Amino acid sequence: MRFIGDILHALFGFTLPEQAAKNAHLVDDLYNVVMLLSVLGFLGLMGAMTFFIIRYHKSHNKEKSAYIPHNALAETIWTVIPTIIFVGIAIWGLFAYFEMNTVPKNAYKINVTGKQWLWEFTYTKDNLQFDTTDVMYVPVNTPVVLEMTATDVLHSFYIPSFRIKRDTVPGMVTRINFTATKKGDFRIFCAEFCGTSHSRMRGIVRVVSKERFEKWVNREIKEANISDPVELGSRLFMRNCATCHNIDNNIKIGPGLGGLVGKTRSFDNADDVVADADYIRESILTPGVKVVKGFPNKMNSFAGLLEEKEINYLIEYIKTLK
Amino acid sequence: MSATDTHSHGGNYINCEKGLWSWLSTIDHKRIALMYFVSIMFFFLVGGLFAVLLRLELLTPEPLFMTGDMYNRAMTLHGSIMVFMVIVPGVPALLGNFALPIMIGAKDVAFPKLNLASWYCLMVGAIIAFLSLFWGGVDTGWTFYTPYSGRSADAVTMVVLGAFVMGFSSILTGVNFIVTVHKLRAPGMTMMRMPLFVWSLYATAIIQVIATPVLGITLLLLVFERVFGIGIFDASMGGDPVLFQHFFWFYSHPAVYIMIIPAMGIVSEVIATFSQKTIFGYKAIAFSSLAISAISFLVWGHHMFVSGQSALAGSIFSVLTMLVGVPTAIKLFNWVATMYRGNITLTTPMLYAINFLALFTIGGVTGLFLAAFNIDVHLHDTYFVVAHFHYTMLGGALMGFFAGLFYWFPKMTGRMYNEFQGKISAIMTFVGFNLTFIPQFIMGSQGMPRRYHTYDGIFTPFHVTSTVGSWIVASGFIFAIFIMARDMFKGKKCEEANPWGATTLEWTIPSPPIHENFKEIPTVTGRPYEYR
Repeated sequence: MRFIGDILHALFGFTLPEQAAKNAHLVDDLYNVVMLLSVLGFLGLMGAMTFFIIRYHKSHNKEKSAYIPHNALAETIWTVIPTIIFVGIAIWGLFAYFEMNTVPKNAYKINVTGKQWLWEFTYTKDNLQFDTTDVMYVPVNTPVVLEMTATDVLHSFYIPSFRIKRDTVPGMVTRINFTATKKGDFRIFCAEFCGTSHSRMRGIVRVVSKERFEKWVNREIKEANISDPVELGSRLFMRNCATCHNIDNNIKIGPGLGGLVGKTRSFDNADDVVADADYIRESILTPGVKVVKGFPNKMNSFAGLLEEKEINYLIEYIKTLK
Repeated sequence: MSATDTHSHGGNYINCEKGLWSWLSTIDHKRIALMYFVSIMFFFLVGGLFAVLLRLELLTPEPLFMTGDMYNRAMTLHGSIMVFMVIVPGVPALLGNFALPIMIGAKDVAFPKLNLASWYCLMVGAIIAFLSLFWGGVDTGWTFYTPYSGRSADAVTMVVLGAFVMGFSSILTGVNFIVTVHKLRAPGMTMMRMPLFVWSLYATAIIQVIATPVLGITLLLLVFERVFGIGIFDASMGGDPVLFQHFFWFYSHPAVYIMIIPAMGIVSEVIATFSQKTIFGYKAIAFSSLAISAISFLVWGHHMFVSGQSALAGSIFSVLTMLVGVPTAIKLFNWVATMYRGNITLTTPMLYAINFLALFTIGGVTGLFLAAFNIDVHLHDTYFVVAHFHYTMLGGALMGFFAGLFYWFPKMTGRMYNEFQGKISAIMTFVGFNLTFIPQFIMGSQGMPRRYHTYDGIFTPFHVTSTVGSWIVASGFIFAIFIMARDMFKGKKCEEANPWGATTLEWTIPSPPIHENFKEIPTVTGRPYEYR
């Protein structure tokens, strides 16, 4: 059987994408069989028609046309045989479908959310969660089940190389499963029309070794679940402040912030102040009110760019600077 | 009204009355058919223009000259115009209106005024739909899937109301044909003596009357949700988005048979006539039309294999869908068997009918891939589906439509079209069509999703070939329409009543026919297609 399948795949497989999941061949096997039957049926019917057109063309055919209103045998044959073939294809397709859609018990679960116009993947480990967008990491040779929904309109999650597709529907959870067998990147498309940037709603499924997947999950989960305010403040500082301020006393564009809290600051346009949490907050939100002596009034306000809790994290971090 | 006077003066239906108002107020089925001819050809050219623009835009993976929103609107217009304004009314309302009453020996349809009303419904619906362009256009696709269509631009309401009004056109035509077939057959014209084109229109009319109201109700519910905020389909208002798909396809799947069955009827006439041979399996062809229209109501779920519908429902729909393929296959075998030991001439209508046979066979076998449950999961919403339905709708329904237009052209106009040019147009459409859509099968199998304004570079060669093909197929159809428009006025006068040697009743009366078709209602003594 496998041998016949391989021959057919060599004939027709060029029309299909690379197989990268355990059950992908279940689609391809039937696809190739239906393709073979279709090609034979088409050539047979068109061959007969072409032959009749040439043989019985008026210019070649001097006889009067025959009177053949029906033929019970021929009609029975061409009713029964297609019925058997068509229903046979349907039943094969059903069995293959159920085999592809039986979720293995130990399958690794990822939550997928379709939004205009991106895919969001939520991973859960030990009650902790993290999200990624557009790139879905999965471990190779491991059954994975996706629990999917959508927040706005219909989308459809489609990985051609895995031969899987399922709509994501607002207010409903749909499931799909696969076992990736090849490492590498494969395309994810949105297949259900969802508006302006429907055709940009593409993603990538990145199949990696189990070890690398484990490492990746651990790193991401740590990143996403930091609760230490100083650590969070340090990250915010690197992103927002470090371009202009050093964490020691060296001058960059603005003054260095080493050992700031408790120090007395002098300003061009205000009285001296002993630096504390309120002063730091004021400097972040309204920097121009107190401009440190010897520096230009260059800093922009971060009001609206940082949340209140983020400002608190920054203050906690700056307090620790020596 | 001087219709009967001029009739006695020997005029035909075209020149028996004059002036624009005589056309806009006519209740003659043949004149109404000509009005449909003009309006449907106009819609066809507009829908085709959008098709060519879409293909041009897809020449490159990144945007060429349209924004995403423009592309989505053009795609929606192309689909809506072609479905609701061209293919659904095309064969029944134009060719059916012209030929059905004459073919059964009647002077007109049963309800001539309803017949005129149905033309006005189509026009009013079309105008409402076109007006939506001034409200910013619609970008939902012709399927109007919720919840997107509930949230998209306000123009959706306009187009949906337009489709609602056009639905009445379809229902009125259907009612008219059913009653006409039952009540107005000439003496001796038993049901089993009716031409197969009449049988196909009868089977179609049943679907039009039963299925179209469901579309109307669904579209009204969508308008209620949009305008009054009643949650029917939108999950955020407590509705169910999948419910819309069930409602929509409960109409729209039978509707694809509204589009294809009449074309099958034309092909039966054309192949019998140009093989000069009795049709093979008359009963099988007649009853398979009825079988298709019955089964067509039970297969809508195959549009929803990946929608979240239950696997059990999917399984049942998959098997039922395969069964609809059986009567379709039977018809194909019967047509080819009709050619066996015939006397075949390759006229323009025959070439279009052969186009139909070849292309519709491909449309049919690719339907097997999509009916198989697990293959459809991969192919659903890809270009494979796009190619499949263009093979059935353009390669099938429209090729059959053009076969019929050329076939009845001498009868409708009293003039002959240019045969050589007609054949060229048939060959151009065939070549261009395959060049356009075969690449789409391949890229669909490889995973290219449909309704994509931009695409992955790996698909570029297929898209480029497809676009080049679209120029050829478009030129072919424009050429065909040009030939008909020119020869309607300038073609050689066709003095014979029966240039093709056909056996059905419309060929026994003069071309063009007189006002009420028959001076005396004929008495029918035998079956059609008796070439002995």
